[in-house]
Amino acid sequence: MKRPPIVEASAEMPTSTRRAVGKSAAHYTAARVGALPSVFDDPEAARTRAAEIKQGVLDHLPDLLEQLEAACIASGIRVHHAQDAAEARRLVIEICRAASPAGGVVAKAKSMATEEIGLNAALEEAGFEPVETDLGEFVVQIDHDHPSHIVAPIIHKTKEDVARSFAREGLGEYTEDPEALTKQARAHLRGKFRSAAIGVSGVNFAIAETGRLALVENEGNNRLSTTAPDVHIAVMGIEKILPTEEDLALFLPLLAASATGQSITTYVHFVSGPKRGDEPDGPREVHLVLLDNGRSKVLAGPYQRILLCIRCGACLNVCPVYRQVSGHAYGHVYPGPLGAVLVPAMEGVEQFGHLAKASSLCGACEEVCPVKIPIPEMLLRLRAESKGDSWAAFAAGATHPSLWRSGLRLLPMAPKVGPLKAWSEFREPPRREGREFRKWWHSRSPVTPARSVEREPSVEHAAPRESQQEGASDAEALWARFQAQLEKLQGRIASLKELERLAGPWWVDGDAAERCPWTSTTDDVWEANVGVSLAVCAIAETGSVVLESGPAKTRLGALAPPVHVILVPQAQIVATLAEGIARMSARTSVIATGPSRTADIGGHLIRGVHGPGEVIVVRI
Amino acid sequence: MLTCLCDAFAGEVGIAAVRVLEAAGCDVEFLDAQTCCGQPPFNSGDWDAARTVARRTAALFQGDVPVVAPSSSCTAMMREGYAMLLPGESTPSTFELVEFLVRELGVTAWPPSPGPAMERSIAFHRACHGRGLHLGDLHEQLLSTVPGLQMLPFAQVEQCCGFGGAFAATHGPISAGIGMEKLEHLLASGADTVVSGDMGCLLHLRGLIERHGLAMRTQHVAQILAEAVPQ
Ligand code: SF4
Repeated sequence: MKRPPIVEASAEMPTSTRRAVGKSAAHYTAARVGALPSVFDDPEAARTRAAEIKQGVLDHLPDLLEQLEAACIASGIRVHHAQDAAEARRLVIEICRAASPAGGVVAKAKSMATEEIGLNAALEEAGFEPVETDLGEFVVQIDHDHPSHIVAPIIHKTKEDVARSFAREGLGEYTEDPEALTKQARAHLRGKFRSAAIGVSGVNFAIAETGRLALVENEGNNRLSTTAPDVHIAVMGIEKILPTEEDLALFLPLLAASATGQSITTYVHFVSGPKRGDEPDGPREVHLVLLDNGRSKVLAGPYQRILLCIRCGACLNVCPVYRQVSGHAYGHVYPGPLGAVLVPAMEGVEQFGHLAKASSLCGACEEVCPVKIPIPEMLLRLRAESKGDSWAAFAAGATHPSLWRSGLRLLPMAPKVGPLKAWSEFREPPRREGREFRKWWHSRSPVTPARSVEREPSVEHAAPRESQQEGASDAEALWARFQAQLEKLQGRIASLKELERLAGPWWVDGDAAERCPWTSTTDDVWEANVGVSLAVCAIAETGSVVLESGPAKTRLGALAPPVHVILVPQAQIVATLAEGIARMSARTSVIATGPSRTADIGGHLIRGVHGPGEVIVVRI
Repeated sequence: MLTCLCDAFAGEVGIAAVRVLEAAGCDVEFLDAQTCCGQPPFNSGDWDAARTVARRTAALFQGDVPVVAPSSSCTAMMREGYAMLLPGESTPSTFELVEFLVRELGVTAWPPSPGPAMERSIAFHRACHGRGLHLGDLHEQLLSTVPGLQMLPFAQVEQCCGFGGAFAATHGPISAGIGMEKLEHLLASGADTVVSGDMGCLLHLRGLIERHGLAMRTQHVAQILAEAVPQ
């Protein structure tokens, strides 16, 4: 029997890879299960609400796209439309050529949309040097590999694999220590950030109302790629819109919890256009490429709801098939249950319909999906759409009871033919055990005609819990909560006095400098050991701070130095993420939560990968 | 409704299901003309063939007598599958065995009249189609009331066993790989028997157990419940 492509593709997979994927996937699944109830009073209600909001987006997509485009233009973001991958590549390359005619480094933040359009190869061909700056994507790139997971690109690699790759590329002394390896990557990529003329990113959520692009990440490479270079190009699938900024208070924690079990990612970067005249740093041009590439077709068809997807990867992690075969076996950048629907829906069932068959239909994907996409139902519809074997003979048998009965009686005796043959390749064939039901039934004394059974009312499923009212509104209680959250992430609160012990040189933002005296400052933010910024406010529920751009406020000061000191005025503390989002001004801002982090290498949590490894908050 | 797999291989499970329903006070009827719910062609993508079978089965079971199957998979087919396949048509009210006992009959403890303690320790595998039926831990809850029955915990309970109907044949190595991982966790629980509510899972796991010479038995939940009923 000819094996399905996914079986073929996974046949040569080493056991160590399968183990690595299974271990990480199980870890993320458990983290998600643990995080959701701690982030939401009622996770079910949160998922339902998220699905409704995204469905509303799909229902009004043309209008929202228009609104988004107008808002972007108003804030200085240049908007481009790409019908397909080729047009998107051409647009990006045109922008790059205009910005940097001589070629050079293009710093790339992790983005599935740019994977989808094959941007790296095109950039290379056009004479640029695309550099993946996410740790996992960087490993993928130097190994000439492909990501095998949409959130954790090197889920299929062990730390020993990474160690060999780094040594081969001359990044430093051979080591299998994830922390040392992370440092090597950090040092190597620093130079790339500084020399890149262009940064390319994806977009997690674009807000139609304000034209703001929300980018989420943990490492800090995304912010560096979109802050240090002169030009920022964001590539985004047209469905990744949310109507209002308020919606982010739901979607940011839902995405983070579903993806990695966090309550919010370390950084949520809010891009509101290019650097303004009074701002000291940031890109002078921001471009948004709106990518269709088959999405309009999917929107108009029976698989529309796959476009609700927020790319959290939870369905991959929980999927037993994905855990066995890893991402590459799917033969497309979107693997797992998400890919098994999206890819045939986008690219046609002729070529990719087979993916819908690579499922035991266990339903775990639908159960974990934060936007409740009915993936199994869509897999069934895809199977019905692709031409498969005819079951007419089976139907004929099943509509003739006597034929059926003799067929079933013969079945256990025929393990050498039909489906039982394929079955028996990996398992012992099933045997009949004990009595035959029908014989037993007929040997019983004649039964009384059926009477209907009195029905009890069926048990109602638990109604959504009322969300808890924010009890403590007084600032001290909020600060205590903030501190607890921050410390969980290994950040800390300190007094100004304690900071004197930190080794300089210091980079101090203008508005922070007014607050207190500093010594041994530097003019080169990349050389500083400590960066000091003044925050808009702190958010108690997540342990986050809100930082914005503005006169005398640098973006890089919060990113480049290994230690970041954040001054927060005593009274500027809010309880919830929603309140924090509401406090942001219209300028490019960031919600930063704890130190920069990664778990890309063998699942080990390392702090300070690209952004600061130490985060100190001072109440002033 | 007897499932095809019970019909062909595991008559004892059907017998046990009848005994359990009778112990709960039901009069049980079996229609000799029953065949299949139509799930195999439905899952394989031949909806015309599936519709033919489904229409016949729906007609056969029409009326207000509830239909009970010792399988969440066949139940899900007759509930959710028929809704997709035969939209707008009337379909029988079908329940999975334990779902029927607990949610329809209001059974909260098993057996209904006290019997001797069982002294067994098992690992319970949740069949995946219970998800669509929102069964949650209904089986475990009922089993936990059986005197002397110990349910041993194991890792990654939410994971499928890898059966998946035709998938087990078409994607053999993947299906078997998933099953072996499941068995690894089940064996680590220390239980000597894996119990589940679906014959598909059990036949698949048993096939793997026998091929690899593992020390584990398989039993359907109906058999455990029947065993607990005093003779
Ligand atoms: S389909 Fe759902 S679970 Fe899967 S990646 Fe998308 S949002 Fe996450």
